[in-house]
Amino acid sequence: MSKYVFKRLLSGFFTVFFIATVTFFGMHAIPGDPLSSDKVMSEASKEALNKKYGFDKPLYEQYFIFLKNTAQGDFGMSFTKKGQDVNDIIKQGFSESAKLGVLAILFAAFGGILWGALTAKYRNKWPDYLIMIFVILGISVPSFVFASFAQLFIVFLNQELNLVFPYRGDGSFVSLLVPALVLGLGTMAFLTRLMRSSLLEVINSDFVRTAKAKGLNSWQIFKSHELRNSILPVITILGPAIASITTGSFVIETIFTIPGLGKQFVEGVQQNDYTLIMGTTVFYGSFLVLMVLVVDIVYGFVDPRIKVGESK
Amino acid sequence: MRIINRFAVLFILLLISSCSEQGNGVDFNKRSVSVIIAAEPPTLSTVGPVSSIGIFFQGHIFEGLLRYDENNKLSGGVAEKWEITPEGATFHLRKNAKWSDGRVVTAHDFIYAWRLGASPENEYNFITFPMKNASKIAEGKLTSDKLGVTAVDDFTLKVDFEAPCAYFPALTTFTTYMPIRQDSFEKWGADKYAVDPEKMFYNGPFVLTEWKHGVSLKMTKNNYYWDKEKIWLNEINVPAITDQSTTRFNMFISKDVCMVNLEDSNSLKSALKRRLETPMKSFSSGFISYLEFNNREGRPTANKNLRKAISLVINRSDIVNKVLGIPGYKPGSTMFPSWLGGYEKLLHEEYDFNLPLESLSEAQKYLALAKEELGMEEITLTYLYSGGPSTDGMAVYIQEQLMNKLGIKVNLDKQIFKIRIAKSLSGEFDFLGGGWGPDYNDPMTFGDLLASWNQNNRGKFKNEKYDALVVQANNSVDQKERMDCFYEMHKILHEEVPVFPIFESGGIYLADPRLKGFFRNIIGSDPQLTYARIEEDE
Amino acid sequence: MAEKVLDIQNLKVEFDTHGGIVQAVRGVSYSVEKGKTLAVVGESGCGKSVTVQSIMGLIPKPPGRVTQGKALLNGVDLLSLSDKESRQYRGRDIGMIFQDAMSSLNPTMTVGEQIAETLQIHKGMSKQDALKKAVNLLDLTRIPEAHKRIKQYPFEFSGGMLQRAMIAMSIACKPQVLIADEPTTALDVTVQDQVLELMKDLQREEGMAIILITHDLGVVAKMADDVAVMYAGEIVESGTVDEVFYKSAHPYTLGLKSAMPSMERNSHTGLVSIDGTPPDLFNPPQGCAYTARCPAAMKLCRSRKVEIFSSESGHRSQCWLHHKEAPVSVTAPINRFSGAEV
Ligand SMILES: Nc1ncnc2c1ncn2[C@@H]1O[C@H](COP(=O)(O)OP(=O)(O)OP(=O)(O)O)[C@@H](O)[C@H]1O
Ligand SMILES: [Mg+2]
Repeated sequence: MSKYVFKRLLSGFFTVFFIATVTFFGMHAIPGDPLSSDKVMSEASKEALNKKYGFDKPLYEQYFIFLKNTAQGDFGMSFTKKGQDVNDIIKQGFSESAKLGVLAILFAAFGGILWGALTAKYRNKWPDYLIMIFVILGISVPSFVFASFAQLFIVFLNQELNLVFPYRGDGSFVSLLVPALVLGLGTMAFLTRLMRSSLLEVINSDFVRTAKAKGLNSWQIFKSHELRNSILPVITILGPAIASITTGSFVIETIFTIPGLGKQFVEGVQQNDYTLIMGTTVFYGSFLVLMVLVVDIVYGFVDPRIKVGESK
Repeated sequence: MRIINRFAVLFILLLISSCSEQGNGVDFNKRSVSVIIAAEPPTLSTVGPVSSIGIFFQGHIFEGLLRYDENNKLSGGVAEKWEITPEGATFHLRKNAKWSDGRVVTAHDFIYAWRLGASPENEYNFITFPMKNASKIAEGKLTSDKLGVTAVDDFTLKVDFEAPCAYFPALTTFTTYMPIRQDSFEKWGADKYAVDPEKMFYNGPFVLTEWKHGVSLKMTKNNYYWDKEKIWLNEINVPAITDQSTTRFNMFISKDVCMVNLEDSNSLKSALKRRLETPMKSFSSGFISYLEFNNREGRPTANKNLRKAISLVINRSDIVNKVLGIPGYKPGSTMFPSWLGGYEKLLHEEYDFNLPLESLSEAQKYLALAKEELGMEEITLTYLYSGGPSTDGMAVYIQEQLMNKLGIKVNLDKQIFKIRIAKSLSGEFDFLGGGWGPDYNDPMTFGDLLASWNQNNRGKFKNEKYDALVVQANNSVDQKERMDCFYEMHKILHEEVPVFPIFESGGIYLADPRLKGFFRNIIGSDPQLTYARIEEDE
Repeated sequence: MAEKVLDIQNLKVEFDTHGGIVQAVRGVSYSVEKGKTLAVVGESGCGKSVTVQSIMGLIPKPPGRVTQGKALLNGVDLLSLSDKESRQYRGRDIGMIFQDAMSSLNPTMTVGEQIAETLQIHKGMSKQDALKKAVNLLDLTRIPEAHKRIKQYPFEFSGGMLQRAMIAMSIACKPQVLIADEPTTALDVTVQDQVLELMKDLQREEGMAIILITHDLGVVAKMADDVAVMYAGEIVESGTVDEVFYKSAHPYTLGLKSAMPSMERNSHTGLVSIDGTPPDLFNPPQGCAYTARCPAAMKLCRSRKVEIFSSESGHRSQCWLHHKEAPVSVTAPINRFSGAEV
């Protein structure tokens, strides 16, 4: 097991290394740099600043400097957010995004399983149709529409009913609920569909019939037989979903004014903030690799047939 | 069932606990207002990258030699008196102007700042060019101590001009001209100076007391400010940072901010639908947007007749009203926008900028001429632009117009901002969607844009007569003569079409009716809340 | 006569399908006595499984539906009970084992937990006690190292072992009736014997009644006291093993017998070699369902609903040939019953 984990981590390391390298050279190949702005700098200014930030060095040298610093866990200072370390930006942004993301994943996972179970239980009856309409909406409507709508709705309710329910992130836990729900919506819809088809298969399986013959009621059957067996595909996609959701969503974060990592990343790209781009990319890559590994291990716990590290 | 009950209780508890403070867009008792900003300022250093959002804060926490007073008129700031001649200017500093730690503001604080401002490391060093030797310092040919500014004594600052500069007093309100405390700047270094409240000193009406990066900022009244009697407000809050217009609008509706711009037709519509009691007012951003043609050799757009043909088939008011539909935009017929001052009144009141356009049928004639001169049967052009949905709409409109009316095929090259800038500099375009905002309150801030030596002249337009007029206006202190020059420049642009102005941008905004005494500025801090006050509730 | 533990009376089950209504079970009656084994035989698709599954509440509703009939367990009609009430009997008073033990056990739950589950819900045992009991049960079904085995998952068991575990699970609550739906079809011959032996032994010890569904007449001979022969959703002949095997009364039973190469045990020939195919259950014939394939068919068989004839001993057969006016010469070995009974 530990050997397996080590092997996976090693291959993950090379994956991240590869991503970082491609991003680094891709980023430099794109015209423009962090210093370019609407108004042109004089040649002298450009030279002075290039020298200051080391852009005058050959690219491979900059690359090795980047590797060296990254190896020491230092992504350097942001170009566009003066005086801020990229490490700090990531730490702060991620803590916000992760709070939101974990909530969103909880919503998505529980919602997906619940709705998926309902649609499967009531398949081809009205609850099924109703939920599936929402699922299609959830998958096809972009999240900023939901986000704007949800916010507008809260503001409207607040006004009509004289409430003060937070309509944007103000640092409190409650204010994260609606953004998290909206953020998790797409994943929830996807999971619902996945859960539905997977549960439908399980419902018709022989061991569920056996469970019925034992005299279990439908809740007991769901809980100890159907759920665990139908949840496997859900878990598989949960890993990447956790990685992508907890590392932030630009749209949700800007609409609900949550200072998360997604916003930082997009702003970094928009402004060619080299250090910020590299920092967030390496971070996101590593996190993704880690989450997929974690999910594979969890998978082994849920499905005893899969022995982590032995299968091949 | 029990689970559901538990959830219900939890939810209600959450609701109750969620009664956070809201509706403090304006607070009479606390004398505080809240505003929302679109992006975080990269730094508050006045010699760092210049941004309009930075200027909003800098305009409240720093004060230059001159300032705009409670009537938005230019008046004495740190300087009580000043004299200006074609050769230079002398500023007499008041002795009671203090930093936020009680230290007196002296001429040396300005000299220190301006030398930094002129150095090659400051991208905005061109703004110091009216001072003697500034451009040479910017090029690295002279050290910054050769800058034409000296302290006669602690409270007398003498400036030598490179060339006469009639608008220099107004220029001293620009952010690069703010004083800097040498001790603080050296302690933190150029990169870390002014990125946190404790990493700078303040000499303006307000001090920054809170800066949670990416989250919120707060300014409070500066008790050391020499004219603090005039300042009514205690606090200016920035509770959130977002460029989402709907969120900003919702914050206004929820009374969490005192002011909001209606930047898109959606928020305007919903504002109208809600029949808000708040009256809508318009503001100008000062920006002019235009198509800029590539005059580099080998580009078809280097041909004047082609440019004229194109200019005749694009209808500005159609773009503004039908394509963009953004409230507050005005069709613009000139590179000198309508808000600019002239020699006495507004420039547009003194000169006629609506030179008649030729008829549409002329366009075909120009096109035929252009084809002949270029020796081309078919013309295909690349349009470089960046931005959001509205600029997409404009691009498609232009594409259609040129195809339908002139048979010119247009390839759209949409890029993110930074790439557009890079491509425009290297000349990889036939025409591009460009824009220009003012740096100081004088037509020259637009006028020298198309001077052949200007780096921002992306299309490399070169016209000797035009260049001569720029020089003439630069060297004159006679405002009438200068304005005549600008008008002549406008006529040349109208004739040669190196750029085709499309609109002046601006907007509609809503402000809490109790909020008084603030200004929406084109130059400088926008909004300017220094002299704002709140009327008491009934 | 011994008491009937489970008595199925005139059971009718239909399924809604895209092609119409399938009348899968069309008035089935059979019963099983305490300590006895009833074997149900018949061609594939004749409704054997549906019959037992419907009394266990296992047929999916919809599309399935019981339209008529009773299933009396010690006089209590399981079919008239609410789902909640009938759940108490399932697994406790009636245990059931299925053909494919591997797919019939939950792959993600240990075998021990699956056995314990029945005890937990019916006997209110704690999980710990139930697991201890599960070890006993596995011992009882002769699984070696039972205490280790209960912690294992189904995929770690062999086929025969799994079927034993399945049996252990179904007898956990000492049911009065054990329904075994083709319990050995998927197993090796030797393993098959062991499993059948086990069932027999357990029956002897616990005194339960067994309903054994099978294709294998050899198994029937070995295990059964009584036999019910099913055809197209009906019981065409029933009686003791001797009566049905050696005094076969119905042409279909004869067909079954002759389709088998020998009555040897261990022969695994299916019941497929009677010429022709069973009738369309969407639209079953008016008269006897076997008419089309029956070598002794008469005009009457096609048109008139066939009646059930029974002997004094209780040997019953659903065939017009037993009518006293039927021509004797048609086929030789048919038993003639005295009276008709409907
Ligand atoms: N869920 C269902 N939907 C529709 N028809 C069904 C369903 N279940 C069973 N049937 C039909 O009922 C009939 C009897 O099926 P059953 O499974 O009882 O056969 P069987 O006698 O057990 O056959 P086998 O020996 O192959 O197990 C079949 O014709 C089948 O098509
Ligand atoms: Mg069957």
